[in-house]
Amino acid sequence: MILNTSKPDINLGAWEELMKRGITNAIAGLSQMVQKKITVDSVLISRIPAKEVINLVGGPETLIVGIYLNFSGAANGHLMLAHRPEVAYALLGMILGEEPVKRDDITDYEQSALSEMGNITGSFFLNAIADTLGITLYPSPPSVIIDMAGAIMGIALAEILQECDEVMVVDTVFTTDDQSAGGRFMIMPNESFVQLSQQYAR
Amino acid sequence: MTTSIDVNISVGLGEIHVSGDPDAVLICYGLGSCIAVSAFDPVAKVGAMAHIVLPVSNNGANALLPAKFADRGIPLTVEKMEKAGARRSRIVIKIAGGAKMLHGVKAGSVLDIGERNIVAVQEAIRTIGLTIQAQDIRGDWGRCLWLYIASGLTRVRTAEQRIIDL
Repeated sequence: MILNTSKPDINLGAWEELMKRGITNAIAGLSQMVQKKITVDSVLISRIPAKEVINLVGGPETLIVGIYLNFSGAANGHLMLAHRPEVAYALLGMILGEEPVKRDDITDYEQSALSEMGNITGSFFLNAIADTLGITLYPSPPSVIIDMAGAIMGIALAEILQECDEVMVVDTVFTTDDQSAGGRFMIMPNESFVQLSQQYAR
Repeated sequence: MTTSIDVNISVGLGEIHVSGDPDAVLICYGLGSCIAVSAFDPVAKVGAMAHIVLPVSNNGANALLPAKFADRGIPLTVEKMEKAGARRSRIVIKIAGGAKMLHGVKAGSVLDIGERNIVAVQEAIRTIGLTIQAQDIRGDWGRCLWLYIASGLTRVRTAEQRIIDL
């Protein structure tokens, strides 16, 4: 796992360590689901302008499959699995045994499988965080959206921008060990979550 | 024969861009709940685009993201156009966006940021004495909005390549 950081303004060690635990667990859950070994290629932790967050997934016009959920409880934030469509279809192939036939209109069953991917990844991430900090976090049901990256990422960014102008993002890029698929898992915490991580350092 | 090459200018979240360059095309990409406000003076050939993110500011203007809030960003956009030679009474306004990207959000609730943005943008435009000439809003899909400064053409495109000229 390679950690790159920029513009830190908190005890970064505590936040990094907490995210590392959560991400390791999330990827383990996803790996179980797709029945493939998965490697984390990079983890980027940054506080950056909103439009740069969108550029991480290829820019606002890029078509992506986004599996979005948010969480509440002791802290709030947003989670997103983002894939290029062909990569999402390859992951579906691993789960369901075959890739979607209709590339531009996936079935409800295929949508459910993607939703479950978000559920597993998100829950495994949040369980690790909650166990580490001794708190309770409640994930929302995932939403699967195939559309332009700007429109999907805006769901999280609009909410975060209510309170500040830059966005803390933890961006994990991963691939299956046989290189057949991959994606990115993004964590965009509200400020409450970042502050809560500080107690982990103590 | 002369040819011109379009100069595409991307207007990101919370940004405003004003141009009198006939080669310029102002573009908001990937609008979900956000609203792109296109403003054009057809006589002065000055145009602007604002990428509105949220309805109402609660603690003042923001220099980094001047169009983050509708109530601040829209008057500021028109002021910038006037400084660039536009006349307020001639300005034509068209808007796009304000979608509800999440199906689980109750329409019209406080979490329906798209709908709240639509109301705030309409109100801000009305407050400065202007009207919206055309709009492509709501739904649950993303949009891009183009404004061609040479002609004032305002075009919406979706991920499915559906094109609407406003």
